[in-house]
Amino acid sequence: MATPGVGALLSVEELSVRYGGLAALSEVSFTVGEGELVGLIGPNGAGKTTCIDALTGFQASAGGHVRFAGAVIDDLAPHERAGLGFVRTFQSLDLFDDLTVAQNLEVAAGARSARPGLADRFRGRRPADTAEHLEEVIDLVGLGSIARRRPGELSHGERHRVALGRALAARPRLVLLDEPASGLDPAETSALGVLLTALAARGTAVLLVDHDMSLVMGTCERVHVLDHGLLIASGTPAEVRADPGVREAYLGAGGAR
Amino acid sequence: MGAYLGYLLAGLGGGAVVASLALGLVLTWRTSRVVNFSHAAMGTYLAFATFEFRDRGDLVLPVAGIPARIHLLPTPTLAASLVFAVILSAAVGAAVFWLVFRPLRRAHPLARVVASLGLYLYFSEITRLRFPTAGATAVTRYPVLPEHTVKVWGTGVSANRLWLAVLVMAATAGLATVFARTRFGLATRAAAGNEKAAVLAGVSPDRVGLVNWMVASVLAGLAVLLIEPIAGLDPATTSLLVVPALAAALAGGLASFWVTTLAGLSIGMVQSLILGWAVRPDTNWIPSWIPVTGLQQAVPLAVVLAALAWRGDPLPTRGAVLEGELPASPEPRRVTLWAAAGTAAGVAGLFTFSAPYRQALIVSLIAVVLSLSIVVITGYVGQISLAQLAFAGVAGFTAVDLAADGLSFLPAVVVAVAVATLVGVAVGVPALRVRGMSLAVATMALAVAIEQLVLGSEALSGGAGGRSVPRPYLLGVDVGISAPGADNFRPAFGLVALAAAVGSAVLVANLRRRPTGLRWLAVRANERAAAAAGIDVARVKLGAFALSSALAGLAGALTAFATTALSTSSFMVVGSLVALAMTYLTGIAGVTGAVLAGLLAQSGLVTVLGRGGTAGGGGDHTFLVSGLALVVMAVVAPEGLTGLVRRGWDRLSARPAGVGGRSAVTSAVATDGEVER
Ligand SMILES: Nc1ncnc2c1ncn2[C@@H]1O[C@H](COP(=O)(O)OP(=O)(O)O)[C@@H](O)[C@H]1O
Ligand SMILES: [Mg+2]
Repeated sequence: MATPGVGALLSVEELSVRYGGLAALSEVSFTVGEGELVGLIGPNGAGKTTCIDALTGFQASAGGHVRFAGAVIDDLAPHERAGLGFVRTFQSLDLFDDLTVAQNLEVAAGARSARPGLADRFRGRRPADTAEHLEEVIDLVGLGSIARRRPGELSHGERHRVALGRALAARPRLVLLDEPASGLDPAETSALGVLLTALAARGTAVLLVDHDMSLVMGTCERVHVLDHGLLIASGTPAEVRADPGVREAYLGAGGAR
Repeated sequence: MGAYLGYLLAGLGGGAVVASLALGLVLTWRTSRVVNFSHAAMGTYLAFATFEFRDRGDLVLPVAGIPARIHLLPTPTLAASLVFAVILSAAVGAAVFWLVFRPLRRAHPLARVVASLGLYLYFSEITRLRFPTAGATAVTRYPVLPEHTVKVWGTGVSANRLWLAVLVMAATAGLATVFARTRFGLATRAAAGNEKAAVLAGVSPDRVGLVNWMVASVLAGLAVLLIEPIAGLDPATTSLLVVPALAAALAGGLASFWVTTLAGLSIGMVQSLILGWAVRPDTNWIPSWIPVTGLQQAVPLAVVLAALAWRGDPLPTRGAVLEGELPASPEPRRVTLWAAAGTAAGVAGLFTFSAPYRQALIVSLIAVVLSLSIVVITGYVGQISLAQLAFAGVAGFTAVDLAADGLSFLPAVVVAVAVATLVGVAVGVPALRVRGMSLAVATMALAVAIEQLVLGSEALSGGAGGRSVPRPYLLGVDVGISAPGADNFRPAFGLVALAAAVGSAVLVANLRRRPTGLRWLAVRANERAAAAAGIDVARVKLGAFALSSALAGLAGALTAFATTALSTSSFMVVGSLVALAMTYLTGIAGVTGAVLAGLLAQSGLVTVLGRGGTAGGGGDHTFLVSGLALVVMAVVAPEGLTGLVRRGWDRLSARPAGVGGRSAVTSAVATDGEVER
């Protein structure tokens, strides 16, 4: 078990979530450091999405605390947490279908950007640094050729990239990715792995939830394993892979996916 | 004490009718996910048709354009009439489901709201046209139930009240049993939650829907039929019985029959108690400026707000049913050019038209402002508001009130707009917790309450006679609508209206192009994703409510000064429905749609041109036609006229269509494996 970093960017302290009688998350604790790439895995229904929902304020917790960049953020609304640089994606992508790809990103960037100057505001122009930042994200995620299209016209893989791009446009210090590789082909998945590593290298921490073991094990420095809402293992990919409890959780739920 | 018990018991009759209508609303909600605003209007038609059958043996058809009536029987008996009522009700319910709401099952809630508003207008108008005596005072034509007086704890009450209550309880028990115990009930519950599950369970959602709609319609028809001896019938007010019924249905969570019925009975009894109380000579605590009927309307509003606050949620929950989409909202282009062209055309019209056309143009310009308010809140932000004319009315009477106190035109309008904005934001706050259909219901209840309680107040609106409007001067220039004693509709006022319309359109178009507009569309598309992208959803909605009610207020203030005497009839709830409907028809998600809606407005430029310059006229079928057009448009072309044109243009110029790939998206989302419940 890795010792929780003292100056960790995110620290989750005994977080619990209940849906009526079902304990979807029971006293889960872990940390994510600045620029660290951390995996969160577990069989279907283990509580991974619930964990992301609770961390980002979309789901009320039944106990525990979330600390981000040193401050307790339990009482912040989802948009306020995003404003701190704590940004998530959705398993179902949830893109803005009415907006173009570029606008999907712009909306997320605009919500946090420096206030535009008066002259810019009058003309409806965005400030130069926002425009630059957007271009950078578009390049990084590879959305240049589809920037003017709408999500409805895109392929599945492209839509996943838009979701990731939208999260990055919000200038995250930590992004939580909910199954970003689901439905991607092997080439797309390995490109995603390269991208995530590059992100972490640039200082953006990543919490990666995915079922693709080679992606998670190949990119993450540390991995946490959830099963039935309990954190059953934590450690380096090698340690987690060797853990008998983890194997049993996956086999018990119908084998590893 | 005995007197109060008497009022309560007397209210059982009205309460039973409310409950019976509410049961139908629950049924249709459970099968089609539609809050059927036309429910009571359908019931009203059915009741009148039954009277006509009883009196003359004729079947009066609810379809415009074919023979109005078919003679069936020479002298129908009471029993035959009741059978007739049941069969006709079932047939109408089946037709409405099959032709309108079945095709709309997967559409955006707005499409279903619009379709049901269209039916509301259609059935109200059919009733008015087919039964010309409908407006006459209530005659007890049809005492089906015994009417002798019964003593309850020493207080006398007419037996029919008790009978009604017993009947509606029996119906509730029947429905509750069927839903809990039978395969059909199970099928309905399955179909409501998940169509695919229903199909897998071997039931046809179509058949389930059909039966439920028929039952709902029969309940509505019988309810209105049986209330007639008690309350009389008047198509307009009876159609609005849907509001207390909606309140009762919401109290039952649109699911529980027993809670719904009890809520309906309670609403009727409390309303009756308030009425009885208020008219007693020894009641002196109610300020005289509060209209008593308005007080009664506050009851359903209170119930609606309580039910929604209790059940609402600031953000939709995960796995909330994915709703269909609103029409696409293209980015406005060449705003300055269009504004200049519009201004030039308006000025040209104002100075070349004769007085009737000038009047029509002014009506249209004001309607453009009102439609813009709808485009902002509903088209851009996706929040269905049926209270826009109520905001307009608040502003209109505030402006007149201030002007009567000596405030000059411009400050009076500014203050009136500010007041409307405040009211709009106040409405927006509870609306933050509800969305879709529920919001439509809440705003409709609110609009009725404002209409009856605020606008109905003699002190504010001058009662039936209305209030005379002082002559407006703008910077010393006379901008009065007509020269004293004339009907010349001076261009001076027209220019004010034109400036307001063009200014509002440019404002809305520019905001739409800015980051503000992107945030509007993001919230409209997906509130959860918007929050995740750092958008303060509540603030965006409140801002949109503020802008929208300000625009509605501006339209209301202009409406006030466009007449010499302002009455509440300019701001009835039906007007809000028509305005929403018109804007939806022309294209709710764009400024162009608002402009077209203004031109097509009742007594606006297009209708007056069509009539060759005569304003008004007897056989005005606006509501009938617009009601029908709405239903048809909602079903076949939910993106409205401008959307249709754009799609045609895209196809002609062979651009990649922006609408095509959406079903692929939906299926991609569906296979993502997000937990659904
Ligand atoms: N809104 C909800 N209400 C009740 N139970 C839920 C809800 N969302 C998820 N669950 C349940 O919580 C558990 C964890 O779900 P989830 O977090 O989606 O798991 P994962 O993302 O790991 O597949 C599952 O048993 C799921 O059925
Ligand atoms: Mg999940």
